[in-house]
Amino acid sequence: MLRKLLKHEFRATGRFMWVIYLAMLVLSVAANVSMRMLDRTDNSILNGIMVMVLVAWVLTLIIGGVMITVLLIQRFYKNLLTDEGYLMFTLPTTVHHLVLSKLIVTVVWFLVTMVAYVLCVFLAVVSNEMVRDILDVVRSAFAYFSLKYAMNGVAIVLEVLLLLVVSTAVSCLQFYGAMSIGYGFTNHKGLWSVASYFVFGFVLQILAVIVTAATSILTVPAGFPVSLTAMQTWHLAMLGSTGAMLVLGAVFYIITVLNLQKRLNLS
Amino acid sequence: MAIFEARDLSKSYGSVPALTHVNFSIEPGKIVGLLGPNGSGKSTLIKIANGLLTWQGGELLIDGKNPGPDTKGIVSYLPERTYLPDWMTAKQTLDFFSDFYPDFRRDRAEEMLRYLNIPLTQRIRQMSKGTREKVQLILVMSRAAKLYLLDEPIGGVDPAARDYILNTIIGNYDPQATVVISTHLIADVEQILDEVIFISQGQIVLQKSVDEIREEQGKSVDQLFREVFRC
Repeated sequence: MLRKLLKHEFRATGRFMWVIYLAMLVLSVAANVSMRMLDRTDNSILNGIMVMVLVAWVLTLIIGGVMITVLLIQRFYKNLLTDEGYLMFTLPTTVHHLVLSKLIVTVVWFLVTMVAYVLCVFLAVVSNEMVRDILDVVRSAFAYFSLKYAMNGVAIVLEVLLLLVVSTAVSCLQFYGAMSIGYGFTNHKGLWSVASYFVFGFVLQILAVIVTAATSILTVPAGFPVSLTAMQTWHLAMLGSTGAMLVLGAVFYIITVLNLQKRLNLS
Repeated sequence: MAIFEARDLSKSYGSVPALTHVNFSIEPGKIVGLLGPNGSGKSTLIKIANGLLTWQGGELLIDGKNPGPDTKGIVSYLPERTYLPDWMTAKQTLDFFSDFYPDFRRDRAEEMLRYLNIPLTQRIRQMSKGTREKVQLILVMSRAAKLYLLDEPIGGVDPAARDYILNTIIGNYDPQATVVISTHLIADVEQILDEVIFISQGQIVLQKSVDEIREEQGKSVDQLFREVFRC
């Protein structure tokens, strides 16, 4: 069932995602052309047009990113908490699958969006010389990391990617949890959702302050047999952060599923 | 075993009671009218049966089980509102139902859509309200379910569409299956009902076969309904 839900979820979300990506990529190519033309002409009208194209490119990237975020978060609300919820919650599947399908697809699209942004910037600024320079830098960086840090270089990249994926999922689940709480009420559902989101944020801030204070007070006791290198400290910090995010994600996930199971109130 | 039964079922929206100690039992193979005025609790009862609402007391059983993924596989539900995503085409709705419901008879659904001249490429948002309701009904009745729960299937459509809807219900359900039709338009559905349940202010007032009503009371169901629910 999860596979089928994922298929339909990608189909439902893909129809607006590709439009936004296409607009971003086309404007990126247009920005590249504009920047090359700006170097080659003194005509003020043409210059004005080229500048407008560049502004449009920047705005497209900003608006595109906002739209993608809003549409993906709104997808959970529209498909599960409005009239479409009558269809989804009567499917022969579990609430876990319904939530997971939304979460997995949203995280995938956010990662694709990040790649799209990198591609857009690359397309906007790329020139033949730059391609050669970038490849040289990548080759040198890889050789340097491999030499100096061996497997650590790969581990760093993997840790950063893992933290990125987990953080994205936790952010989504924070929205889902807030909406699932809000829409369990009979009245003022939207207001309760917003209030729940801010309560979550407030609690997270307090936890962050407590953790920060605790880690600044704790010191390694004198004579403690283990001393950590900088790289080991990095790995510990990354894995610790990822672990904390996973715990947060689990809490938001449980809140979401329990509210949808016990307090669903489609009306 | 009863296919659909409630035992002392109670549900409130906050402090407002919607269902109060509801008891009934429906055996397989019947077409049952769940009849009551607006706000009597018909939709609430059907939504609970579909796992869309939680309840506070008693229990509700579908084929002996509480509402969940297993019961959703044998229940075909038609809500009183459009629940299909408006961006979907008719064909995509067929794909959706085919994917999730092994008992979905796609060929039958396609035949009915063709009969109504509904193009498979037309999107839900491009259809009139009546056409959307017909598409939903076709999808729901094209499943070989054990229990059909139809919430106000003929409300808000013209008389010709009502006849089509009722004929579709009769023409497509398995005689071994059970159909529960919730409505306040009694005269239109009475002709197809085997049994009726009257519900008022969240309580069951009466559960009888249509034949019994006609023989014992000498009245039609519509006449009895008007008497029982006289304002």
